[in-house]
Amino acid sequence: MVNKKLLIIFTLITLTGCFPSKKILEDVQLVSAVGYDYKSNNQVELNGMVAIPQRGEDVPPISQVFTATTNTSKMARALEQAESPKPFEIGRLEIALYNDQLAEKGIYNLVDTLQRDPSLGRDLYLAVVKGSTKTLLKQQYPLSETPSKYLLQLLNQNMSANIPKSNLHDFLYTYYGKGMDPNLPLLEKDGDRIRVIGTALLKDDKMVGHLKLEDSFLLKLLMEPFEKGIYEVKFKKDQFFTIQNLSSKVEYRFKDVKRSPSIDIFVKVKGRVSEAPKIPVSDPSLIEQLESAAEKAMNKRTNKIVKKLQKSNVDTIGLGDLARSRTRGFDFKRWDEQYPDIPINVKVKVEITQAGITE
Amino acid sequence: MSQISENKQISPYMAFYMVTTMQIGVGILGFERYIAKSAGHDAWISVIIGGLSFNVLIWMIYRVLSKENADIIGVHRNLFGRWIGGALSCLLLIYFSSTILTVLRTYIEVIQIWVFPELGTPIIAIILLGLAYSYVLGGIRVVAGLSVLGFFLTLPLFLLKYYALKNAHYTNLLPILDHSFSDLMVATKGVTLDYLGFELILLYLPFLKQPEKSQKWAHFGNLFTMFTYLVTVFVSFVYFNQEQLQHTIWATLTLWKIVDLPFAQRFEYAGIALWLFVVLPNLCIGLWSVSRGIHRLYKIKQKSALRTMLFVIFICSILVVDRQQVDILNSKVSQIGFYILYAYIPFLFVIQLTLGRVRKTKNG
Repeated sequence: MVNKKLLIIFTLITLTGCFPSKKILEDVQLVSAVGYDYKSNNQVELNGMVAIPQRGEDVPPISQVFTATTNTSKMARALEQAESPKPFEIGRLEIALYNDQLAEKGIYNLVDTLQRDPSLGRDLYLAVVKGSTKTLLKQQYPLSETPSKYLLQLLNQNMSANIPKSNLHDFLYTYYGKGMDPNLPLLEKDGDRIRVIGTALLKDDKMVGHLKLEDSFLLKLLMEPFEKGIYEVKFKKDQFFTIQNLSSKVEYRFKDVKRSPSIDIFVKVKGRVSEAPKIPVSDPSLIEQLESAAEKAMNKRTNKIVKKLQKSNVDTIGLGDLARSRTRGFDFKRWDEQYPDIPINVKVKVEITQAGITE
Repeated sequence: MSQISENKQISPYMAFYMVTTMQIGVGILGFERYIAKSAGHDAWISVIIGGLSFNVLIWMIYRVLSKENADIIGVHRNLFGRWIGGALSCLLLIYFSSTILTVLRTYIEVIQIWVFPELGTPIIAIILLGLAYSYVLGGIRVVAGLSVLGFFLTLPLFLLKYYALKNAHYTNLLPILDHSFSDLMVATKGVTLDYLGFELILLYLPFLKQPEKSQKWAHFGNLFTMFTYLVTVFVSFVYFNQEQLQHTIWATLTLWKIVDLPFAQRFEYAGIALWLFVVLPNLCIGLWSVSRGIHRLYKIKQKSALRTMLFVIFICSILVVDRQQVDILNSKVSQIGFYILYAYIPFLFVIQLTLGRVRKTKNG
């Protein structure tokens, strides 16, 4: 009996040898951002940004970029390994960037490796970069410790205000889903700053166009209810004012989806005048004028945006899916054929509730 | 059959825990895409239809067993005689063993893909089976207690659905009833596979005190399973769209990924570890019941039957190598289970009814 117990204990102890090796934080390199650049038709340059912690208290980490060129992204990571003193871990990856040239060719294969990896989260940010992602990641930015941290805060902040929300899950959701197309934030490096310059519009996984930052705000109004963001309106000659969005709502009405569909989109913006130089905003009658001026300007612009989406045949708003949810026996094929020519009418209603704390 | 002494029996309400834990196994981690294949976003209706149909089956099982006042092995012997009845019992035990194998192997696969890709199947199998062995030795009361423990430990996982609902697209569920009746029935067949597992009650029912009282609890157990599946399907359907769901092997597991707690960035690792408390009672109830069945059928000591079973299951779990094979194992075993429940149980029910009448007229 004693022998038996000893045998069991011995077996258990030796079994521990079979366990996978531990991963200790100090012994691995955590990749926090990756950037993909276009090289040639079937080659991609992969840049992985690693934040290397420094000795001592309150010493910010140094960021380093490892680069490799290859056909598939996993291979590239293996190649990077050759230069790196420690093995890479991508479990803490926060951002994946795609160069615009690459985005035009299609990025699904690269995103697919990210979604396949069980160690990665679903709230990873994806973004398209105008120009090289390598130079963007290599730059040291005074605004933040590492480029990846900067990018994370930048995107976080902008997605709550100016540009549609989009992360790995949203991208896959809109990529796989019928009757909707993905969008990604569009970034640009500007000296020692990174700037959000708008929204990249994708058809399937290929970038087919983009909207400027002001238009991204309007696109966001068409897509989701939210509480922030600023829009500038021209009032009279040389007179501009800006509206700060306090809350917005969007409603869609579909007519005759099965035969000749038409769509009305109603957007309601509750806002406040945040800046109005040269305009006496305390006058109540003037507020009405401001409202109608804002409505007119936003109506014009949003309708233009929708036309642009239809022209490039991208359904970023997800109108096809909305139509499906309201129609029994919905036919996607027919809808896709009709989509570019469907009359879509956007009506924006602006309500100005306050004008700040001064009169 | 010989009466089981009361100190080896368990309370009737235990049927609730044992039924739910057996039904909710590893299937729930990724069953969404299978049921959504035919009925799309309407598949939740199939979840309800399937759940309710199982209440009828539970009723039938209780009727069959209580009439003979025995477990299924006794029923087989009474109805079909020693040889045919014995053969049927033997086939049934093989089926039950293969369900144990399926649960074990699928959980091992989840561990390997999600947490420890380098860990070999035999190591995890030895650990899990060794653990199960030590519990099963304690007898049915320990095993039942384990299922209660597992139930309450995994109950809080419901709260995690909140994170997915924050990002929900409720229009995904509209329009309701956009699929034909036959689509719904195909999906219902898929759903029933996830309700399988409670049929082990065929073996352990005599161990419940006052079995007739436990029937109510077995029904409740089944309804709770239905509720769990409904919540799971609902949340997965509003978080993923249908096309995306078809690309997601473990939808429920993937939902754990988005849980963002201040102290843990990746919840799925904790979730998979916690899931051991679902898998372990599953294995234990299965192992206990089948070894008990073997003991009744062949007059072998239950302990040696258990050891033999563990060895065979261990060998079989190593033989299943990759994802495809795990998938095949799952679908084959559940198909057999489907026919056992929807064809064999009603068949048994009818046979018993007619035989009972024949006997009565003979005696009268």
